[in-house]
Amino acid sequence: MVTGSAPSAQTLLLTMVPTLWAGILRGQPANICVDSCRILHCCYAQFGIRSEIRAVDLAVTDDAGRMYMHGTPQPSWEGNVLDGHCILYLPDEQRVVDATIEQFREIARLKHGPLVGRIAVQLTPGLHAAAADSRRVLSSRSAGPT
Amino acid sequence: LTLLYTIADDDATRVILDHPAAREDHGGHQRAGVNLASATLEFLRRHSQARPLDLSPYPRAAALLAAVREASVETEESGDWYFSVPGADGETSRLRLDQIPLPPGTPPPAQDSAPATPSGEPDPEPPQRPAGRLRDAFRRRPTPVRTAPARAVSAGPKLDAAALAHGLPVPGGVLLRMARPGDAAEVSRLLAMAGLDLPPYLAEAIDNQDIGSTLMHALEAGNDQILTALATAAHRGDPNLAMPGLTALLVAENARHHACGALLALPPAAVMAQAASAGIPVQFALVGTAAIVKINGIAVDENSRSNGIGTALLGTCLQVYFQLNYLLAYGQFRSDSGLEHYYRRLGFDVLAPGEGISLSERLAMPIGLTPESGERFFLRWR
Repeated sequence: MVTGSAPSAQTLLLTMVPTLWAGILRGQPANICVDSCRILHCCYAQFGIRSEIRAVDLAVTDDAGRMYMHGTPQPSWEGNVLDGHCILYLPDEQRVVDATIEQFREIARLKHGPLVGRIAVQLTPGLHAAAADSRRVLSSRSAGPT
Repeated sequence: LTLLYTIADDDATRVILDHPAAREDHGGHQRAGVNLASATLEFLRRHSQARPLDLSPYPRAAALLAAVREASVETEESGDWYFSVPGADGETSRLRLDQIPLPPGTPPPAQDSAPATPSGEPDPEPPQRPAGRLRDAFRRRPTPVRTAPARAVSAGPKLDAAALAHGLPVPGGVLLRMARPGDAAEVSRLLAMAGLDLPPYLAEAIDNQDIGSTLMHALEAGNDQILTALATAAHRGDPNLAMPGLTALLVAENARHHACGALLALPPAAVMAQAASAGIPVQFALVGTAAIVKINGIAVDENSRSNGIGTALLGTCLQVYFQLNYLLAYGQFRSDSGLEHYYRRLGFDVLAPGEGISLSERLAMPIGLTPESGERFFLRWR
């Protein structure tokens, strides 16, 4: 829900980190989600905010119903190139951060910046969750044993 | 835009994090992370000059902000950020963010928790070697922050959840509203006129106010409520738990407060079933559930017909679901009923008897809907 009020200091801090990083990244190679997650993890740690990197796969559906798949539940490496995608999970904030989501063309053209989404339940293996930020809708399902 | 993430298990995450390519630059990541924190802090400091910031939920961030409030900052060619911080002795020290002394009792930096980092000790000292690509990334000052564009507002008046709960006026002193406790018997009587039985779980959902509850929340707070409900139900092991909340049971109530018409629209069970048998991942099937609605039945009392009640029920149903970004509304009727003219007049496409609806092009789901024998579909895409 979009409101006219200013973001809280909490929201400002959590969202500024990936937003600044996305600005720095502009023009960098696309396959940088691992580096980005590691850097954001270290950055949030400086502010006392815990985070975890999680491998994900991502299904994007646009308003016309077209669907795009990114990442894979079974990531792999070919040399130094990752076939997969990862995001950062902030367990104490119940949020996920995808700082490199704009590497995907259908998302980049929206020019919305990185994703900081709120999730509904803890993301541990076997759990499902849903989240949303003010600009996108996000739902997450945790794979693995239940 | 809908994004569906599947969070992989810890083993899959370790495949990424334990690879040498991910591990080799740990010091560089640490250094870049400190520099990114510095850039963030500088932004927050400037922001706080115009508007006070309450960072009390993050005491370490608040302490850092206080420590650099009067500091000057510079960025080296290497990309490293340094703050000139006055010490207690009046001397100014040029320090990286992670070197700034903070008051006793300030929490330390957050500890790593698996599987965030690869095994091995974090670097206790700043890295001695350049961080390659990451160093280059920090040569530039951060790009100015962009402001997110406001969400587009769809044209036309928006349907209001409170109004739908209370009743939308239509000609003839009739109100259209979502079913409420006490309606089950009358709704059941009306739907029986259309040859439909009201399933017991929906009758129960009427009485416990679960029917249409997710739709109402979504009208009020945004359609992400729908995905939240589906994901929560899936987490509880049964996506069907979300279905009553996604079902619209609209009731037309006359001036004497009697139900004189009803419409039942619900998520199509056929889509979930076909998706499962076609091996479609559950997240795709869930997207389908949040994109398609089946108009299962519509009925108006004989002495209330020809007053536009049926049309109003259908129009309200479409407005509810299309406002929530559903893509397809469809239903079916007996081929010999002559209803094709009625639905065409209301703007629906009417398919030939036996003709199915393909979901592959618009929903990227390699399945289709097929009408029952002797039936034909009417449908409208958003």
